[in-house]
Amino acid sequence: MKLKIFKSYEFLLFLLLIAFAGMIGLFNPAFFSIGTLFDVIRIQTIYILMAFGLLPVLILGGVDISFVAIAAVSTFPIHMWLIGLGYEGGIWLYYILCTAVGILVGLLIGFLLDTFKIRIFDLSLGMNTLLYGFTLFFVGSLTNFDMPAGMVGWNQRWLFTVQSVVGISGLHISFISIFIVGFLLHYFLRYTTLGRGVFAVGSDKSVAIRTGFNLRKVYMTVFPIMGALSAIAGLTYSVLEANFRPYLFLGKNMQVLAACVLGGAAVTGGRGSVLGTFLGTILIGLVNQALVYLGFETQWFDFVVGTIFIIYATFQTATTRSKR
Amino acid sequence: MAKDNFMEKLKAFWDRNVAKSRLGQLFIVLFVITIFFVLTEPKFFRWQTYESMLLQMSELGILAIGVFLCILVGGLNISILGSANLSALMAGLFMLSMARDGMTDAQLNLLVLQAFGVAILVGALCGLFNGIIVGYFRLPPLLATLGTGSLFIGLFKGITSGESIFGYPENLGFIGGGKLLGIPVPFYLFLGATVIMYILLHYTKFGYRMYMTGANETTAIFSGIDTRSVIMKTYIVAGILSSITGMIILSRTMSANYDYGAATYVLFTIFVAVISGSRAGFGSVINMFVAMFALQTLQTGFNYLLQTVRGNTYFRDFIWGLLLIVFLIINYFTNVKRIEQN
Repeated sequence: MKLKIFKSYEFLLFLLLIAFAGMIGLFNPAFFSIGTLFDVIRIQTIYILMAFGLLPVLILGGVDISFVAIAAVSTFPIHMWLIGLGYEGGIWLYYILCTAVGILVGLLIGFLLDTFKIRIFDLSLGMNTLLYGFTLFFVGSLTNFDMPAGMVGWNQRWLFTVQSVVGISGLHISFISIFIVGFLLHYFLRYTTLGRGVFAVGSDKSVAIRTGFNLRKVYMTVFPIMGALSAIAGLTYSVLEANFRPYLFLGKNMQVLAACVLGGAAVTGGRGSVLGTFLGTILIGLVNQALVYLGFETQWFDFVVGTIFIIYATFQTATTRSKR
Repeated sequence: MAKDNFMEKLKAFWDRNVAKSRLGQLFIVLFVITIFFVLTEPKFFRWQTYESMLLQMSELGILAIGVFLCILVGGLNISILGSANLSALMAGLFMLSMARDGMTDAQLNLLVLQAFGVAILVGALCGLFNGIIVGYFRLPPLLATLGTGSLFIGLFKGITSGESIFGYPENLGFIGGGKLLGIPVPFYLFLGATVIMYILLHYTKFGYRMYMTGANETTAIFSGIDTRSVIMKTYIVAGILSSITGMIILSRTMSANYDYGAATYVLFTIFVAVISGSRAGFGSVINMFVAMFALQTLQTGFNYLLQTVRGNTYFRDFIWGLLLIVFLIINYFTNVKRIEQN
């Protein structure tokens, strides 16, 4: 049992993470602090949530780029609507309504995919443009800075804080959501029949259907999960930043995708884990911070993410092929 | 009797040229769209409109042919816009570094020509990179090109710190803004690319191998085709095509910009591929050409109709997303028909 843990991919990733952080720490000791860790986690919380949403889709063997647009369409219109009604209450109503919209969009995507046998990527390309276009045209194209009274100050609710070189860094309470979501998703994927169905469909679609997995059910579960998690991520980000944007997360899809693949989700489908995705996202976050600490311009970030993604995916494909 | 005979002939004609031919369907779609806009918008049916359409469709059309080729061999290419913009940047930087004060007109023309060469080289290199990881390392083409697309654009952003680069010699303007015999120069490039690709696909060994590879790769391998090399070469051709688009964009806007065309261009290329009925091993560059024309007619028509609407670019995005989904659904029904017929 112990041996298995050390041999697992997640452990390898964890070592890589430590080694990477240590290396940057050698160049710039300021990097090695609890403050940095908290900063990385606070920024990455949102990406981790989205990556968790994308993970089941990747396991299915599909690539979706519309999850960022779902985040926008499920937060901004709801916010404008509630502000228009003069809502002054807390954040919970926001969470419920935004998640509901996310789930609805997810259900629609799942329905279209299954009924019309569309490739996941093609539909997501259309959905991405459609949803951003919808939000920007029908709801509004300007960032909104109004906040209901009950939500002001929510972005300062720390679990605990530390004093660091750059100032006070804290661990935000939204961090807890990662564990709740992560645990639920892990349970769903590992221990439910439907969750195993996701892996089965990703490994071999026709075999999965013949085994008796209901494809429609799988699609109608995976995409609402993605929609809901995108909505939660979008809402959390908007509240942390204290503004709601119609073009939320535009162009951030590659970063999340790279994190998932780095976290061990197979590019061909059928493999992936919640813990790996978590570590992968943190690693991408560290890379981003490292660029800052090593004195590079942040404009190189996309290039670095792209390079990591390509090298990693190539390595992964090569090793899985040789195993067969 | 004569009437029945005529009806039969008509039906046979319909079956052959419309019901079973995507090209015929595309022409009908094009015709209907054109009629619709001519009736709703009096300013639509003018040479001026068509001139700007020819200009705009060329840029996208050349990209779409590149994507079509990749789809034909069983792949996909999302990185095409990234390689177009990156090759435009490299050509631009080359010109800026080589341009001297007091160069004669002929020297500047030569410089632009050299820059075009640089762009094509960069495009080919981008294509080679794609080709190696898709063809030889066997990465799923969608993910691979999504990654390389981000890589190319990231490289652009890194080199320029996210700024756009401008200040090129005036002579560059001819490629994107010039006219020959009243027709915009980019259209000649598009037409040239279409004709060359048609010849390549239908009259050369390489073209035949591309169809074979896409239709059934295992069969192709057993027929003695080196499919990996075919795939790699296809991506190189796509890269070169993208660099031509890059030069047109550079010349037309006189600036290199990393997020030019961002999300919608990829959507359009996929859109054209879907409505022209292209899939692995099947499809024709002529269909692509007509589909591109139909798409451009739609786009220009929308522009006229939505002129007065505020925030109309967002509305257009919304409509394009919707149309892509609608056509994907229509595609499903035509595919079902085809499967039933077989």
